[in-house]
Amino acid sequence: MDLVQNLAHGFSVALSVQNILLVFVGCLVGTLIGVLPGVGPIATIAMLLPITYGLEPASALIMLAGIYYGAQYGGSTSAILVNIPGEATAVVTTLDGYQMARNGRAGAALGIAAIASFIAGTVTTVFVAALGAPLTKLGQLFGAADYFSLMLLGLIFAVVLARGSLLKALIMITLGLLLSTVSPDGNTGQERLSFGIPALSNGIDFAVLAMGLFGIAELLRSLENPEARDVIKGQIGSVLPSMAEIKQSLKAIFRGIGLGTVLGALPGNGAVLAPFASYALEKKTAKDPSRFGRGAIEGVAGPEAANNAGAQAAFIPLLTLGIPPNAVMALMIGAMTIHGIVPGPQVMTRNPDLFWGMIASMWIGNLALLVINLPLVGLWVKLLKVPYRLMFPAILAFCCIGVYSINNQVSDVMLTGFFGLLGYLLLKFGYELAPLLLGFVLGGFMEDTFRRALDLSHGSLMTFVERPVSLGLLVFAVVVLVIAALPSIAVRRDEAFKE
Amino acid sequence: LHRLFALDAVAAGFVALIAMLALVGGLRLDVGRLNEIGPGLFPISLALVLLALSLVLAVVTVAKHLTDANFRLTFDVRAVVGIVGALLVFGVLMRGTFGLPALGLTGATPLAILMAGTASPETRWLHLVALAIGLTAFCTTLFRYLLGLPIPVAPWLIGY
Repeated sequence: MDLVQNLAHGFSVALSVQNILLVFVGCLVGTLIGVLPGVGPIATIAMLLPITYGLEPASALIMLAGIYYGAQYGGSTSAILVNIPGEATAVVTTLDGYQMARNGRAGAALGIAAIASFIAGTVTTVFVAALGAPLTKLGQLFGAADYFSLMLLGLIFAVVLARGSLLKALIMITLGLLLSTVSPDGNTGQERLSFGIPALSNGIDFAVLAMGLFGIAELLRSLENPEARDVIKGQIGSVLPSMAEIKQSLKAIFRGIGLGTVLGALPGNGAVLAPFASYALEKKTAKDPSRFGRGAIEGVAGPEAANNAGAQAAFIPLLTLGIPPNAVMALMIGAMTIHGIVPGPQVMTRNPDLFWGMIASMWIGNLALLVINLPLVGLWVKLLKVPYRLMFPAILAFCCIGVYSINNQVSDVMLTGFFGLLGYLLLKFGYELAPLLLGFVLGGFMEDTFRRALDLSHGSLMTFVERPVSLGLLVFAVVVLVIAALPSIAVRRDEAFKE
Repeated sequence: LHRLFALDAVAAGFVALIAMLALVGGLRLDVGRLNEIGPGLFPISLALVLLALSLVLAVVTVAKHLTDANFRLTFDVRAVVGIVGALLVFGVLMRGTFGLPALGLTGATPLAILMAGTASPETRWLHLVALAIGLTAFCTTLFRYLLGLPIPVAPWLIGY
């Protein structure tokens, strides 16, 4: 069978001594940085990107996968132990995870988070591998116009799935798209919107923007609102949940995987919604919903599984179409580009080692998480007890060095400061930053495909509605937008996010 | 007067400013034609869309009387100056921009950490100095010597 053969090939790449070592080290440092409160996977990966530069492309991406899972788990750890989510998707974990910790079940909460992630990772790895080949073939049939419409659909999804006002999310997406045009023109190479600033003449580096918005702005916010950081005192307890707890969680885990896989594979960062959806589902189907919010283990297991499945399913659009569905995947694209790999449907045939190796490494990343991070929980607890007054200068130093080493440009460091300030202001004005980043990521691709589509159609905009695939996607986008804007749905949407 | 505006109205105004700035920069660019789109098409149309959306946000806010007399927007100037200042310190001292000496990693890192310390009223300076020294040693070893990244270490002292 092809699937087995391909996966076997992937594992033969991922299981070299060097690559196993890399994935473990990546997992370890990813957790180390990701566990710092307020530092989510985006900032962690942006910070650690430079350490993978010296490696072979496949090894670099394999290590990044380790960093990614480590960062993700680090975020859950701080959510459970100090009630501070590293990023939006870990918010749900704070609800019951932190309560479990206060009930003296911190170990079990951390354990079930890792186990749920591992099961989700295992199932989703197979899923991604199975869909990889057929979807890539489908992707090869896509023309420029279809790609453009698909990305437009992705942006609409991102607007609908963002928290808070639809209008404000739309504004942030547009701002992100606009920022992406601060770049040399694709045809003429003419500088655009650089305002004579040399640092802008080659465009804004994605990692710089991400670090500013998700690293620096977050630091500023934490400094302004010093949250009570009650690291759980007393015993963490065994990291192995009891049999009863595992039994309770198992169904939640598989429901979470289902939700995460479907939502994560959507082009518009559906993965962020997965943990929320899973939590709501578990609460609704529970025999005794009042347990939720007081330390229900399903409230940790389900969302963590959904989160991880979603995060991994997000690789599907990246690997098969070359479209990053969220900011983390955009960083992966950045890493691929640095190593001279052009993302898109051709990756599977041209770089089979990388394609299948990366899929296999997802599973190994999850395993590494389980094997090395769980026994190290005590270390993470100690790290979390370091006072913030010492932690934030250290985070800042890592940001500086990380950003500088991306291009060895000091102007990047200063730009990061500028975007940090911009992000801080936007947060103050009640905007969400994730849609901005997605708009920025897709902006360049969208302009390219738009131009190519019009080149092919000799300037006729009708190409977007004449091609059946493109038309279908556009109609779908309009339907999604209209449904979300309907008053009755809008109210329900607000409720869903309040939970 | 500013208290009369609701948060969203201010938010709309801020984005409108960015859109107008982009318009000013974008209008110099050629829009081109549909069969050969120019460099200006995307920047200008996106800036216009952004401007329109921010106007809608402002109008919706005002029309719904979402004004709040108690609304206050405060900024933590100390944190902003400290953190953004620290990035600037690192940036200018790393390779010596603006006629400043190039201190490299071993100079820029500790000074950036100390600058960051001013961002919080809770900073204890003795601890911070210790952290700055320790972290600099750690980062230099890790990034330059273990990972081999081409970051200048101390150009004024050892030449790289």
